[in-house]
Amino acid sequence: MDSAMVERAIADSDWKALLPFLYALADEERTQLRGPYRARWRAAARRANGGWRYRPRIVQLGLAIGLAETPDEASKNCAWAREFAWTDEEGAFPYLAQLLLARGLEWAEKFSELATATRVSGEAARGAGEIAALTIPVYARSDRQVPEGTLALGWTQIVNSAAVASSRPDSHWIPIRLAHPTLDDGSTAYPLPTHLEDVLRATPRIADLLSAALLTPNALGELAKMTGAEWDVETAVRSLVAEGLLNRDDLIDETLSALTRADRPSAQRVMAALLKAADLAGGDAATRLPLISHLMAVVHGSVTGVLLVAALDADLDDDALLDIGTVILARKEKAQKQTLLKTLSRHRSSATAQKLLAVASEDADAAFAAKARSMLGEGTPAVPSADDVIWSIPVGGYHAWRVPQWSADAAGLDAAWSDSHTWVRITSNSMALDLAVRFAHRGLGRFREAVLARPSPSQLWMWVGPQVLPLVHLWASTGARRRPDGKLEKWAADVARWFGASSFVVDAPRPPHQKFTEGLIEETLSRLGDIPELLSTPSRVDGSLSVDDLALRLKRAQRRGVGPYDLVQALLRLEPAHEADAARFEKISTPVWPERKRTFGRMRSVDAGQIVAEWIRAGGLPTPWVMVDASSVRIVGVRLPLPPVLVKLDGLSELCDSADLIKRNVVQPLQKLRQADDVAHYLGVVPYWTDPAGALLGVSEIGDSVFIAKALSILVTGPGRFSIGAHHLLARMQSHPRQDARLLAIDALETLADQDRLDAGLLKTQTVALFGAGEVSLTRLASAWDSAIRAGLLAWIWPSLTGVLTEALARDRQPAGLAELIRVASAATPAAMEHGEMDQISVPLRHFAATRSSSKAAQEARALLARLDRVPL
Amino acid sequence: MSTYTAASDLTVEAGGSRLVLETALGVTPVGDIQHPAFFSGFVSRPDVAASALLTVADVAATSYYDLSLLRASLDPVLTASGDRLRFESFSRCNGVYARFDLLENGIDSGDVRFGTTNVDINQPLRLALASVRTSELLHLSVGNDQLTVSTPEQTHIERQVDLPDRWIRGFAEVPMTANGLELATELDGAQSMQFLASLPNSAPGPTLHLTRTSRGLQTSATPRRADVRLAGTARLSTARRLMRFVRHTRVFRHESGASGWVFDVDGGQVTFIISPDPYRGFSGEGSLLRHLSRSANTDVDAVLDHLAWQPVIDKERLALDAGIGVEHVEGALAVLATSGRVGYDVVDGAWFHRELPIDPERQTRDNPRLTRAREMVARQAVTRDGDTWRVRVGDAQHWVSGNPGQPICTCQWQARYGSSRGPCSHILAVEITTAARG
Repeated sequence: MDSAMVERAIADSDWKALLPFLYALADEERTQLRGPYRARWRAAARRANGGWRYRPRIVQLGLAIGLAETPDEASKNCAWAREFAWTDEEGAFPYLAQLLLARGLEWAEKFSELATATRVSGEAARGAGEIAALTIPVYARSDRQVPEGTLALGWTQIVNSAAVASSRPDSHWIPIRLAHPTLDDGSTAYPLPTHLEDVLRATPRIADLLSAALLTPNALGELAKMTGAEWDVETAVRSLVAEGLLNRDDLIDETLSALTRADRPSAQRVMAALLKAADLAGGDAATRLPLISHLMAVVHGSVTGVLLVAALDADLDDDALLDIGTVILARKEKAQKQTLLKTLSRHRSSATAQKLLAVASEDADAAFAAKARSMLGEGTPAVPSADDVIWSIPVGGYHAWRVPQWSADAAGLDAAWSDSHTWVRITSNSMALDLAVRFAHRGLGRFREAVLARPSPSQLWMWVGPQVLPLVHLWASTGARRRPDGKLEKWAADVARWFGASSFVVDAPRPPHQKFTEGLIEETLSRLGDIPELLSTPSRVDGSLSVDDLALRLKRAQRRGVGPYDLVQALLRLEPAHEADAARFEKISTPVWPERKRTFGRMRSVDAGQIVAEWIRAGGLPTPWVMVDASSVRIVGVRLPLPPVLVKLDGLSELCDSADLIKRNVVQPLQKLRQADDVAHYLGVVPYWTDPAGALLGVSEIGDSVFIAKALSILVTGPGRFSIGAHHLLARMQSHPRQDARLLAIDALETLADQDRLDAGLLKTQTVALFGAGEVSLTRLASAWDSAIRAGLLAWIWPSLTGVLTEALARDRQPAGLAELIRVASAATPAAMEHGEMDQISVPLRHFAATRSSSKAAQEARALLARLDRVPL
Repeated sequence: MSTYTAASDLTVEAGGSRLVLETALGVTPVGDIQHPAFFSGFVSRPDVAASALLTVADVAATSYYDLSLLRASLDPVLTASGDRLRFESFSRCNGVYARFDLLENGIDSGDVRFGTTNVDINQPLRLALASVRTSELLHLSVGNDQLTVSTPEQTHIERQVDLPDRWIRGFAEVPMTANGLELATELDGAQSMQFLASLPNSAPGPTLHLTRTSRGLQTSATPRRADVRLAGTARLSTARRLMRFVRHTRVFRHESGASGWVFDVDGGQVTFIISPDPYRGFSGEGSLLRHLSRSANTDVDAVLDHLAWQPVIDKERLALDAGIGVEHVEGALAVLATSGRVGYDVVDGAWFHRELPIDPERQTRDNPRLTRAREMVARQAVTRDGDTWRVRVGDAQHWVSGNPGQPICTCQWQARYGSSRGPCSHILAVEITTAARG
């Protein structure tokens, strides 16, 4: 092969032609080819490899190993971690290892030392496998110490890859494998599919590699991913220990040493398997008791299980038993507590056992505590303290502060921009529009200048939803008053291109509240400079407008008139008014100016004062009802008491229409409020529609996302009523899979309770219904209610708790989490009794406790009843 | 570049064990010394001291937002203050500060000298420390005097000292946070163990609001009823290593959402200070910026002349000695904190002196807001505009208004953080300008 052929091999990524050629090179030929390698081939190979492609990567590695002068040059040119292969569908790595060894053992050892010193993390950690595949054959022939770190991580990756490939024999994916430990013919160490024991046996210097893996933080976590009996670490390692391929004592010492680090739980699970494989027993524990006592406090539960059994088998003295026992009792692993209890039952007369049993008798697990009490000869549980549980927080009532205005100058504009980049509020848009109107009225030229002094709003989020300030910037730059159609779509296409995504969600139609807001913005921009203020600017931070403010502004607008969008927006935000207030507006005559002739051709006769008066007389803003049943969620539309010509405003009739959000258990592809921004924009238009907002938020895709829980903080700032829609959402969020989301839901409940807007009866109805439909988990509800009770919400939670508990107790088969729920009820018992609320559940509980069930739930029920009978009334 | 010439080691000998903590470059009252010896003597509770030392080392090796970034070792900073030894470290994510104070009653015999250095904690030593027995005698040497007679032929393990820049930023910020901590509640030993054992340890773990109840420290659903906020439970779960030995816990809260935890153990105490958010490190908190922008170099020099590794700095005494006012001493101590020269002990409620190798450029490099502010002042970007100040930044401009004690800026920094992370660069620029104009 001449230079041209090497270049062809690079161009065609033909490693099969290249590697034999490099392998056969004499030193002199290698030296001759080094010039073109450094000048052209190295870069060409790197370019061909762009994007982690397999064959070009093999060519790149082959050239580096075969032609570089020094191990240092070769290792650098391999570009470890920046470029790497994670497949080996054509079995090239054993040939690469052969090529490396052909450079001489000393050269290969130095190369391996450099390669394995590469630090890998994040995505690049996947590159450790190829380093291990290349260098393990070198260490197999060398007496050098197998290094910890990248090599060990790569080895565990290779083992795990073999497990994955073996579990999917039909897959085309062939992972990187080790070279055969003795044959130098490019063959692999094991076929595929295979199993763990074979892989370990075929691994050269397996004991050294396992030691290195134990020394490498988290490396063994890779092995925790393997599933199936043939990949069980304990079984395979036990077999190797039995045959003497691994030394049992070394394995125990090295594993215990590794456990002094705080590796991830996955890695610790593998270490637990190693200890089991070594059959860690009392004799081993006896000589290592200080270390085991130390580890008990810090290691994962899977490890304490193994350590505890061995320690208890070691015939502990009192001090050691007390040391280990107090740690086990403080931990949450129930099985290990039971194991300890069994041991204590044999020594119950000793002072140490008595001390530990006393601790155990206070355990939150009633069944476990009862056992401990029984060993102590105490039959009945202690009466829980009522100190920690209060029935209800004081109710403060609802109050919303006056909304602050931005100063009508460049400083105010800058502050508004900064705020819009940071916070989402119901009033964000309206206060930005208010600023634009007042600033422009002081000087349109100065306003335009100030707007243009800012950088263009070029980020995608600025164009998602009806954001005022980006549209104001667009107006100042181009005169346009609406977002050009396709702007968001163009952005989405760009984003999709940047991130290589095939599509991006942009096809959802603009929701009606957005259409209405864009109409209001367009109308306002058309009169910018002429009008000193808007009618609709909220009075309070909750987005509501006071009757007094509206009357004052309408009076000031008598000569110039008001825009139809502004007028309707003001009415949508107007606080509930008395019928007597209507008279105030009848005396005000303010024309409504036409904006678009097609729509408002006959608007001249419309008077804003009359419209407001009629609105108030008709009862103001009607709130859509939300209907929820087992298979559907529906918003029942409303008719606004407005002249027909105003109902035609963009988005308005659609906003008020009926909507099936869930129909026959299928979520309809309608408008949804997906997160805090959406909720803020919706309530920015109709602040009093908190209940429909809750329903719309509730039908968004939830999954494990915490977005909806975060949006609750916006929802509870709305001034409207919280009825079925919002309570349905709150009920569901109490059972969110994530604890932080559940805590956010409890935070929202506390806010509403404080504002006297939380309806305990409604919450119960919705929670019980969701439980009946199988949509909530008792375990999560118990967790949420435990937090809620500590927050002082027992008065609001108790009906839901008892309702769900009664339903759960009545079921033929005990639902999962029932014991936890009874435990939470038990903690609330003293406060509930003080308020005469225990009767609701005492009958079903007694019935349940009287069954012959020995389940945890039944034991918790009996413990609760025992406490109940001891609480003085 | 500072290195260790040998690995720290614990050897079991007849009648007890001998722990040698190898030191790197040390700063001492007589100047910089390679591998200084700061202590040689016996500790009263070997198992407690060993666990506490491991706890500090654990924090140094852990990145709490991604446990896969765990490292085998990092080197705690040791300060010998005459009557106590303090071992300090920061997590790799810089959001957790840990300190073990081996106090006078934890030292059975031996003299503690004065100085600051790094000590080597390696994996074999971890195993040895974890295996220390309660009842055995433990002789501790910080620095090995015998090394001074070692010959070049001897085989030494040379490992570079790992003292990252972010630690220095942390050393600068943590004292100011510690200074603002307020005692929230206290727990006894059993409650401490129960609480620590209950902490979720998935990284970084949930942020919990905690309330003191008769059962100990319980999660509170909402911030309103909470005594303290623990941002990222895994960041405190490292303290489980010593939960068997905790006699008493003091829990501190900070208005920023940070928290402080002082665990009293036999012969010492272990302090954790946890940043306000799981993904927020102790750097760029901004609490020092005002002091930095206001303090005069003469104050700093005057205070520096009178610092001598005091374990507890008496500000009034220092003010008398230095001939300046107490408020000037406070400002100067804050400036010295930026280079890690003083720390703050929340239990004593006082500063303590330590020395770290100081980079004169560090103050500037680690406080980019102050740097930007000075640049703005230098290019006369700050102009008075009626009751407000206008600050030009490139093509944009921001406005600073409000009363001098509570200025407000229109920039995004102010919108996002308010005053919780110190002033923005524009407010600093205005303050520097007004101060210059008298």
